[in-house]
Amino acid sequence: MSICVTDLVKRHPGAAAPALAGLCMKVPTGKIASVLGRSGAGKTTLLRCLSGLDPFDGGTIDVGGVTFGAGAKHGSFGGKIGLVFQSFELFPHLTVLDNCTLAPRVVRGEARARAEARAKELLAELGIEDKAKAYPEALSGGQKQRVAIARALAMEPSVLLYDEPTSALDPALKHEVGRTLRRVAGTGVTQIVVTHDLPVAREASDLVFVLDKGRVAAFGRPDEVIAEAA
Amino acid sequence: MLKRRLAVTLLLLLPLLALVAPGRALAEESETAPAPARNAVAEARARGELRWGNDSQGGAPYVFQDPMDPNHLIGFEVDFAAALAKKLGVRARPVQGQWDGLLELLARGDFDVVVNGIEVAEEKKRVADLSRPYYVAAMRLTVRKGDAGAPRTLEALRGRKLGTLPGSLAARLATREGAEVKTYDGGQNDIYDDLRIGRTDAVLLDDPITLYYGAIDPALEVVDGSFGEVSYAVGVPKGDAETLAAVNGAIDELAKDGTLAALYARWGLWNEPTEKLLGGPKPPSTVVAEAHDAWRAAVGKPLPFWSRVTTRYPATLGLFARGALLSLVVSVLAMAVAVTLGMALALARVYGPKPLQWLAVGYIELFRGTPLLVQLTMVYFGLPELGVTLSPFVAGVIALGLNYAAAEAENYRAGLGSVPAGQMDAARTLGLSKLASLRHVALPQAIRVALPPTTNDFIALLKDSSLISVVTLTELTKTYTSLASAMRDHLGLGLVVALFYLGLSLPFARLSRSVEERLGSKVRRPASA
Repeated sequence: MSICVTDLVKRHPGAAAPALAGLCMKVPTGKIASVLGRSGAGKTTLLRCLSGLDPFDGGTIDVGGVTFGAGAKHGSFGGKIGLVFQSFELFPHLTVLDNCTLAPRVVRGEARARAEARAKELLAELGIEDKAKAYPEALSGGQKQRVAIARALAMEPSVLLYDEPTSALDPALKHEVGRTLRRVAGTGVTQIVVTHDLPVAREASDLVFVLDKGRVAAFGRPDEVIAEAA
Repeated sequence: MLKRRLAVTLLLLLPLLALVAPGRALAEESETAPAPARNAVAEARARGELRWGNDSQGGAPYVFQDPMDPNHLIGFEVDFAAALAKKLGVRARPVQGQWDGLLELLARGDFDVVVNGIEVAEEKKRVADLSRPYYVAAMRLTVRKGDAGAPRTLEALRGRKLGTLPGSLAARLATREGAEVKTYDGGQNDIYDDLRIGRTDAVLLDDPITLYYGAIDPALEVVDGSFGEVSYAVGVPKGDAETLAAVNGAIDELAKDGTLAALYARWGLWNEPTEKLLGGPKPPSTVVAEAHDAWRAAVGKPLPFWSRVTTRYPATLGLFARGALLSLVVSVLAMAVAVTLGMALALARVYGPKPLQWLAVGYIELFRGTPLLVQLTMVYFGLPELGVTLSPFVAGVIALGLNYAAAEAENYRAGLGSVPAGQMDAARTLGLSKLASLRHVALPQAIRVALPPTTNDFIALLKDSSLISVVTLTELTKTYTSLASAMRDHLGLGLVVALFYLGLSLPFARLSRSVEERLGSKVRRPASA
């Protein structure tokens, strides 16, 4: 489903300028959008507002035709928007499989067998089904990332957000990220990737937004925008 | 959600109230409202037994464990209480309590009467009523044999170190004479031990104690002459006229029919002032001081360690095991209270709204910053003023539990603090509620960090549980101090009790290590960046 952000405003208490100053962006269903920008441009704030971790002060977020306004409470997107953290934040006390089944079981009350069957499918799609019984500490960075993606997808979100997906990975693994994003896009999930990694943004995304001072300063196809920015 | 918050708030408030309220009640009520009088003797008759309070740690010849068979309580007051109960038409059942708190325990309703060398003195009558005396003891001064500078008169006590029992006439007398008075909560044995090794210069105590502890020590000498007289009376609940009359009547009969005279003679305690007091027949000349002889034979000369191990200690093991079981059960239950309440406090402090945080901090500081003994005393002796009379067992569990909850709360707070904020964020972006995030994500990780200090606390609690002896429970430490006093053996029995404590704590230390290892293999921080 598509996501449309209109005039999003977010002020941090005590800060002179708003972190988000009327930001607008729209990403069509199943597309991959990269969000670029210098630090302080509002990338992290955007992610935290979109994922429901922080409330926002103005504007709307529209996900698949459902509109959320300012003051919407944490988590009120009802699992429609997932987030893959920069440091993945896998649950270290749970196996890979349990990481992926916790939310479906606790939030949706799914039976263990059903949740596990779905989680195994997702892990297989991402090529890490053999790690189902492992604990996160036994995984490489790339494997952790794919578990984090599978964990988010297990809640069947319409939109999946990524915070710097390449920063914790070996350079050799970076091209894997693009492939993973494409695979996920194939299932119809809309993806927004916050990154400073220009090659990945260029190769993997359909759209690029450049943020500056809490607004979208430029957007378009990667070849247009990144050439401009460079 | 609101209900739950309210419940947590109440849970936190309750112990605070309990701590604050009794103090106020004490101040307001002590002068105005006298406690409603009991009829203890009627209660005893309905029950078929007379619960008489005593402290077996006080030792011979009053109430003590038979050194040859410590499973039996013996003493001239055991015989006296049995005769008294018989006259009242019931069985006698001894109930253990700390000696200097016996009258308070009586006032609280834990006993029907107190029979344990309670001296007739005005200050005692404030807490309880006293029967007519049943024995008169002379006060004797004991010094080290061959100590040329030893104080041998009351006047010579000025500035000297004198050992005696707390709250006794001897203590008041010696204080008045300007002596430096040292009182002992432990056994009477300790008082004479300290004299022998020179920690004190003299001991002033009642005749019976002197006879059983001072006179049998070849290194000590009892100074000739009496240094005053002290009468023993039965403590009965204040204002309980029926019981007072019944006890007085029974003592009269026991004096007249010669029961008391024969009893005292058997213990080697018959003396002239008592003869005058009782006014009855003298003991028959056929009665010998067999009980005193038995005591001398049992403890007069200390046995070598190994023969004590083989002949004396086996009979103590059952008592130690019973004491250990009580210590363990109280500790486990108190820990359950501490863990549950501690968890609620930690969650309130870390995740609760501001007022709840303040309450939690207040609770933690209050309970961590005041002595456990004060809290236990307030719960056991203070709450009855508010109409809440807890059994010794429940009071012990609650006081220990409330106190340790503060320590546990801090452990869990540290544990929760060690869980990165990103973990809660991750749980919430997956749609988990705050409570579900805590339960499934933060707590399981926090527990691993909190487990080692919690085990530590449990072992500390196991040892602190010895404090429940002040509320009449004979746990492991009390078992030891009583036996040590009755058998005049502190070192050897000390090793035995140490083994019992280790036997209790080591399995838990081991269990915790193995749980830690099991969790440790699973719970490690994900390598970030």
